[in-house]
Amino acid sequence: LTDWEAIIRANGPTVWRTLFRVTGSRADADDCFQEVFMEALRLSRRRKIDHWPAWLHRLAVCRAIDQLRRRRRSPLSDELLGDIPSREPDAAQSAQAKDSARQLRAALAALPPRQAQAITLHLLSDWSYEQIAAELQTSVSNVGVLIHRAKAQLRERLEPHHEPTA
Amino acid sequence: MNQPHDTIDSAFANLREMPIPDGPPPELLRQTIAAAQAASRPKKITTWSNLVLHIRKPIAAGFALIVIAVVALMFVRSSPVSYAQVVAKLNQAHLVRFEQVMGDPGSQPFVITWLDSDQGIEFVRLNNQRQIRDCRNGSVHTTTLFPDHKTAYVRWNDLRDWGRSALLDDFKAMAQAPSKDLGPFNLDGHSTEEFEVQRPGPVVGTDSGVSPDGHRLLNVKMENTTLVYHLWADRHTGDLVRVEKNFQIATHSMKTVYRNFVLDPQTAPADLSTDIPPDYKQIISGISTMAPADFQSAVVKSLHDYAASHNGQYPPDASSFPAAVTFKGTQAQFATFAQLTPAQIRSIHVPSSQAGPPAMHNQQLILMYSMSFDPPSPPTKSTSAPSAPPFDISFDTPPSIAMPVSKNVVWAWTFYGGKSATNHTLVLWFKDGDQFCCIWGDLSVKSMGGGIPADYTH
Repeated sequence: LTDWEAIIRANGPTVWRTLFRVTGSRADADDCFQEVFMEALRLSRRRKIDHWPAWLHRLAVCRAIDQLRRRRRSPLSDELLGDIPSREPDAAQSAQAKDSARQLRAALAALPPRQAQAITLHLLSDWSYEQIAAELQTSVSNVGVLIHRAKAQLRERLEPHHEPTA
Repeated sequence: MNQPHDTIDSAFANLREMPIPDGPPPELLRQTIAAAQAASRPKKITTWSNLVLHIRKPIAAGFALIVIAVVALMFVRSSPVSYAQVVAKLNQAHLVRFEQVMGDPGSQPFVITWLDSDQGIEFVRLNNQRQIRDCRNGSVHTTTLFPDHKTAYVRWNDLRDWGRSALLDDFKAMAQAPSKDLGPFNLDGHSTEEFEVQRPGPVVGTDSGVSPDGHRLLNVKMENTTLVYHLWADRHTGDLVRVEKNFQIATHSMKTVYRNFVLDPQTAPADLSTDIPPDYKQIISGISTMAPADFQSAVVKSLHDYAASHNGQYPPDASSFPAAVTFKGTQAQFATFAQLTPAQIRSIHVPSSQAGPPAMHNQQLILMYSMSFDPPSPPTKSTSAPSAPPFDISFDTPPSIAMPVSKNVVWAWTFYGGKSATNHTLVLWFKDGDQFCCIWGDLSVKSMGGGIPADYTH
């Protein structure tokens, strides 16, 4: 039997931090936290998990991006994406950094899910293409395609004056 | 000047360096552990006898049993069907008829009759036009009949496993079956992805709702890279009610609705006919990754198909051949041979290191194509269908034949247009192994033990 208490205690903080980092919201991180482990429990009945930390990290990224997408679809999306509550410990951050994070989250929310997952795992979590390919169950070259496309779309959103390449 | 990579990298770096508060809250951690343990614990089953033994008074026990039976009956009656049961019900049907509406909700629906996956044929009707999509054998042959033009437009395409990727089969499979290896067609590194995004992704959620007419519905959501599918089925009967496909890439989005599903409808024999009326002109084009048994049969078939759609004429000259195939969306884009040298043409090989079925290795392409083909007027200009789209075909795409063959084959095109090919006209010669062969205008093939005539060895 899987020792879920040990797994959650060992990986819970990392999972929560990932959720917070991607969503930028304590409330969202809390909301998603239990869902990540319930999803892990459900999926673990169907496949053997060799490396729990990496797998849970990937699930957390997926869930956090899904949360961003949900926010985007909600009528209050702009406000929510742009207004991270001031209770977070980022009071000292510059307005520019906060604005950059807000824009990136909004842009990530607009990406197709697999592209968003791939580029987040690569640029936020420093995962290699091979690691991402293994977790997303696709080829390394396809990961390259996903990240290339994600960058192209992010560039269009984050660089207002950027001209898309042909 | 912009430095695009820096912008994105620095945005992620900024996100990575933002301070993170402590978490999760202890209470949340405790609740999560408790929830996980409860969910992973084997369910305790209370037997009837244990239940009865715990109730001392027989009357109370009898009453309790009646209550339990009633509750159990209510549970069984209201027990919702699962997605797997919806799929099983579809699998049992021999025929499925449904309507497909694309774009504007007010647009005219296609009426599609789908023969079950064992047969794998779709019959599509829009106004008086019919389309037959034969998805057997892993490829798709699409025959579109235009009565107003007495024309049948025939396309074959096996770039993906169409037999398993048709709408209903995708739902039946409930999984992302791998695309075929696109082999030599995977030139831009994007082709597989372009096709893969058309499939419904894995199930990402289910919930329930109530239809306007009061039916309780099961809603299954499936997501892929650029697609979101919503499938609704009756929670009690398992009947498929509606499927919505939302395709979004960048700023472009498109919605397709499948509705009015009828299982095993009454059909007239003519509705399920695959025959092309004998007085119809046939326009044939195709593209294939299937390795033919041999070069000779590939060339003869290609020439035959090409000539069939060009009034018996062969391609006029080598410069009208396409050399490369790339994909943009689901449309094949061709570049002509005129843009490449013969050496480059023959260099379009499948790398031996490329993963994939061994049959796809060691191949080159032979493509026959005409840029000068003059298509008939699009049926959209017909008075009988002034506003309806002509299915999904485009007469703007010239007919073409493409096949991969062994890279060890040496071949050369020797026929140049302007005259009709006869049994004295050498169209193409090739050398497969030690043997020279010539294909003549009547599609006869002759071995040339002494080599190719000097006139043709330029």
